Amino acid sequence: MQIAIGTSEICLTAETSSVSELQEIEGLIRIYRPRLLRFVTFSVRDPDLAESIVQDCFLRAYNSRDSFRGDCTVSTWLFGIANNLIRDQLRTRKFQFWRKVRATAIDITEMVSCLSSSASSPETLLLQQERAVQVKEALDGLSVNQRRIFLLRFSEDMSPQEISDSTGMALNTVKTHLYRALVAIGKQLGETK
Amino acid sequence: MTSPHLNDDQFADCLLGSKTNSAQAAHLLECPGCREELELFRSSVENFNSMSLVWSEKRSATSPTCVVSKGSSGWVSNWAWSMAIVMLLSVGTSLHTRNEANQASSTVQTSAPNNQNSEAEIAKDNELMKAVNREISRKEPFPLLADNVPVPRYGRGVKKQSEVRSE
Repeated sequence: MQIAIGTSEICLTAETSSVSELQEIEGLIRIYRPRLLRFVTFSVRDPDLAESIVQDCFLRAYNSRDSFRGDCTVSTWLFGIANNLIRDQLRTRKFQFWRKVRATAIDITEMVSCLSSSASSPETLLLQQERAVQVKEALDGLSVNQRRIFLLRFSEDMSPQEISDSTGMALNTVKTHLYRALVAIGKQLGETK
Repeated sequence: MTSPHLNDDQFADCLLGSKTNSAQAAHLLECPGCREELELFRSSVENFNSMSLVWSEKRSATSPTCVVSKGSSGWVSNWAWSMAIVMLLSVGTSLHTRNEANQASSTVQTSAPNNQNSEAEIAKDNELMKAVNREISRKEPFPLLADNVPVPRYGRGVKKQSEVRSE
């Protein structure tokens, strides 16, 4: 009985902390913005578009903070909003041409320079950078859904069920996308090995 | 080493941490090639994750982050509103001054002919109108209806004018 009470108390504390976390928008942005930006940038492959999606995501989250029931983590909730925004953006075919014209590519050299030199030698660092670029290039070859799901699984460490909840896809669809993404990336890494 | 190497699906199973049977686990233990390939994938994804996270952290630090502040009512900040109001006011005042200038010029244009409508001009116009009336009312025979021109009669044995022309 004591254990049950303890668990419910813990859940209640977690829920109230999540709700209070949502009230503090600046803290929310500080904590989740880099991860959200990474996810959206590599999903849509356009950093400028990703910036606006992430801004919109925080605005929506702040405006609908009262509807957050606390049945999932704030992170999952935010990624769910971001997923909806990406989906809406991809559905809007109206400005497809202008989007293609205005689309900015991810600067790979800038990104490679971000990999800090925690490696023991310059050769190891170079190898790590090369591998990271290979994964990025392999991601570019995937479909948007495969990219999104791969990033949620391997960058955000979400379970397939959480990904299913976040994206609104069926669990089997999530698994199928995940398998295909893994096979494609594995092949690319194997070829360039 | 008796068991065959892991195929793509089995690799995916291992990476997802699902459905790894004992045979696959045993193979991974004894096959350095498959182990190395699995490790290569994991390390590559880890490198990518750390690299992309640092990149997005840097980008977040440099880009304007303030979406909604507690005091403000929305996206648009105070200076943007004030700029919009100033622009609206300037456009409004310029339109107002332009309207006033147009009205002044139109009153000048309409009053100027009134001054020129002198008695002499009215008399001149009247003379002109009378001359026109005279010209219109003069009786002159219509050239085609003169008495010496025979009027063709259409009937049996008489050819129509159009038929004559065609011949």
